[in-house]
Amino acid sequence: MMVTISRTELDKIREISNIGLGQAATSLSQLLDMPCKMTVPAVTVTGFDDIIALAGGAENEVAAISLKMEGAFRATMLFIFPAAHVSSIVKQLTGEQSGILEGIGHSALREFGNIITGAYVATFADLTKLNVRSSIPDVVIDMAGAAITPSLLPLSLYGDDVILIQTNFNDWFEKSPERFQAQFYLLPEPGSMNVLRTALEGMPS
Amino acid sequence: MTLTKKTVKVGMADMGYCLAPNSIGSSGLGSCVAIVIYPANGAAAALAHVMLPDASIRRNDDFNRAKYADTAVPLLLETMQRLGPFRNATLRAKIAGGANMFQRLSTVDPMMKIGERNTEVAREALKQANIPIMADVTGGSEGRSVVFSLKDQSLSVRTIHSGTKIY
Repeated sequence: MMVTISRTELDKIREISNIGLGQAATSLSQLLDMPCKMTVPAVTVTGFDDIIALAGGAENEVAAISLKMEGAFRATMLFIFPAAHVSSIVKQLTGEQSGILEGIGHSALREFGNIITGAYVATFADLTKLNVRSSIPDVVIDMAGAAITPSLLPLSLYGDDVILIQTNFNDWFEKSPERFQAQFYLLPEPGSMNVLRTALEGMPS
Repeated sequence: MTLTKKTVKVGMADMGYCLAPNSIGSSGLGSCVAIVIYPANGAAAALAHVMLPDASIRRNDDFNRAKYADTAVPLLLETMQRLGPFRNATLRAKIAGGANMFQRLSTVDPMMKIGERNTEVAREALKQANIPIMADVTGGSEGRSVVFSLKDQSLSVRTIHSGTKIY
């Protein structure tokens, strides 16, 4: 089954994502006590193989934060960024130079994922009027192929397309913000595509 | 003439083969399992990169035998038969992968426990075919990249945190 979605619908998803990730950036700024920005340059439909390629290839080391959206609309959310950025995010959150595999680094990343995805889900629910909630995020830092594939499995039973929301993001390294690109994926379960479509129709263009 | 050795790369839900002295491998296996079958004399090898345990769970008619552990093993056997007169009694297998990547989500979502199921079904299918498993590098929670070499029938397995080990 292919994800069939119109340009107008993708534009609305882009609008939701812009507001949602904007809220997430505001929460992060408060938490980190520094300016932080997230913007959405692109929303497209993409295939499984492209996801792995966009993450730098199957063996490239990435951080992947994954969680479930449940309720009226069911989906998996996946937030992926280069592993090279993990330590600066953890240091900013905890003030510690922690190894990424130590407990504190993991919980800090999970918290980071909580803030981003929580803000996104709240905005999504608000704008679509859909009753959705999110599970606790899970974090994995590993090869892109290994880190990304498990989230695609429920969909792989039907086909292999997902909605990709490309995000620009500020990194905080030695006080000089560097941009880095993260990928944010919304993977609606096939049974939820129509729910999403109906909700988007109800939104003002 | 010197023979340059090649490594055939096999992508997700796909299958490939190579002849001696070349190699075959798959990168970034998480819950997926790489199943390698080769004859004891090391003349050829076939590898399947399976994503899911059994074909019966699919929801549509997209049917790719290399995607499921239970259908990949017969497919690998047929491939070996095409590559040469290898008697089934001489065939061997090595498997790797089947990790549980997301520890927390796997408690709420059975789909996330798929690594274990993939491994179980792969072992079962090989047992059915009477093919001994010479190396079984499965489980855990780390991604793996694998290369099987026909030079010495070794399976090298790389993880980010433990480097490369030979099985």
